[in-house]
Formats: sequence, structure tokens, C-alpha cells
Amino acid sequence: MRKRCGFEQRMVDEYLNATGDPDRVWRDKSAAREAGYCDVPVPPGPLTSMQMEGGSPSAYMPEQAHLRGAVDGGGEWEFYLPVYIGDVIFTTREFLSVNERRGKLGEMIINTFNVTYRNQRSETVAKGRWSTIRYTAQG
Amino acid sequence: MPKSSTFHEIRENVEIPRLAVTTSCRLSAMWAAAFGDFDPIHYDNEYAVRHNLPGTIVNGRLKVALLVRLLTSFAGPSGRLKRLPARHQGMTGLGELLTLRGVVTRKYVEGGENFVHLEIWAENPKGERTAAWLRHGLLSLKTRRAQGGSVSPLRSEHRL
Repeated sequence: MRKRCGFEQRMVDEYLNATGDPDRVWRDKSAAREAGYCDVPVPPGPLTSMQMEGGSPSAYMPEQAHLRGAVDGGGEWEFYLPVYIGDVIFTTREFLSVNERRGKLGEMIINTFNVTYRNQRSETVAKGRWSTIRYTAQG
Repeated sequence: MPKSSTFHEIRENVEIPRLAVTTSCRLSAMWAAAFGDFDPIHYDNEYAVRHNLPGTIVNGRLKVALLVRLLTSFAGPSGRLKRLPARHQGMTGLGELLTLRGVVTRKYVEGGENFVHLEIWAENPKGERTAAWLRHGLLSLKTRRAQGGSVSPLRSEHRL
């Protein structure tokens, strides 16, 4: 599954407002250059939030459509290159494993993915491995 | 905002400045606006209860992002986040105070680059961890930044 996200300053500003991050390096070109960046960088946080399902139906996992609940299962990320305002990031998500469990939420399926993040120059800027938990719910 | 530290000032087994965040429905809305994640479990209490949850909960990736902020604030502008392993250990209900914390577990120089390993976590007011890194987050810090500052546990408040 592939997804595309263009990082604009407005989106990053919303992210910074939500996390309360006042650092000028994410907003100001001169502060960014002083910190060794060639342009205004995108903080690492937004990358970790790409490719989330946001509770949407599992259109790409029809066999799990009966599991209407979804929560984040955490993950692990490695960051290789900075992402800058104006960059377009393409993610490729591949299934790594599907595990069934019973827990506080009842019947659960833990889907684990490998995600690769590339920029418009096809450079790998980050890699991630993370999980979503699907579980039964009344809907 | 607590000042970031230079590599020279950082000490192993010392806590980094904490970040306290009061979660709220507004915070969830702002997060949804930024990322388009409008899952109602993050703002609609009835919907969340119908989905077997105790009530509305904080978006897991928002907690990850707040821990990223804890690290990037500590690292300062010239620091770079290299690795971030995360695991959720519990849910956080909207309205709960989240405290993001971290401890330096190791610092070293390799290939001319300065590295800092940290254990970081989010905890609720009872001191229970709701998100934690099983392995250490890894920062690369450059020495050329000489802003100074303290690594004593300061508290930064963030209310929304």
C-alpha cells in the first residue's frame, strides 16, 4: 500500500501547535540554517503519524472488516535524512505479520507493518515498523 | 521551554527536563486537523464506549509525537533524532495529565559523532507508564552548539 504526503508549513504548524513545540528551527529558515539544516526541516513526529488508518474501514483488509475497533499498537522508527518543508514523502507499507490475541479489548488482531519513507528524489529518509490493533466492537 | 544541553554537559543516569501536557478534546481536534485522523474514539465519548473503551482516549501517535518533542527539545536544534522505539502500555483518557520523562542511559562518541541513548516514557498522574520505549531512543548531538543550559529536571507546562 502506497501513500503520498506533501509537507507544507501549514500542516507542520498545526502539528507544532498540537504538540506545543515552540522551537524556531521548525519555522524559521535562518534558525534552521544556524542549526545546520539547508532549509526549514519537518520535525520527526509527523512522519510517525503517516499511514495511520484513523479508524477507517479496513478496505485493504476485508477479512478483518468485522473488527470495527482500532487502536495504535506502537512501533519503531529510524530516521536517516532530514525532511524539509516542500518535500513530498511517499510511504510504502508491507505486511510483516498478523497475530491473534485475547486481551482487555476482547478478540484482537495485531497487524504489523514495515514502512519505508522516501522523498521525491527516491532517497530513503526513514524506515518504520509498527502495529495497529483491531478488535471487536459494536460499531 | 527548558534549554537544550550540550553534549559535554549531558551526564549518564540523569533525568532530562520533563514535559507535562494536559490532554483535552481540543488537543485531539488539533491533532486530527494536522493529520486527518478523525477516529471518533478520540473525541466522541459515546462512540468510544460503544467500542469497548472506557471513554475517549488520547491518540497513540500523539503520545509518540509528544515524546519526540521531549527528545528534540532536549537535543536542541543541532541534535538529530536517529531512532525511536515505542510501545503503548496503557490508554490515556482525555483530560488526564501526561508527563513525558526521560533518563540518559549512555553517551559516547563514534566516528566523530556524539550519541546519547535515553529511556523515555509517558506517565499518568499515578506514576503509571502509558507509553514507553523498550529499547533506548537514540540522539545524535553535535558539540558545536554551545547554548549552555541545565539538564536538571525542569518542568514545562503545555495546556490546551
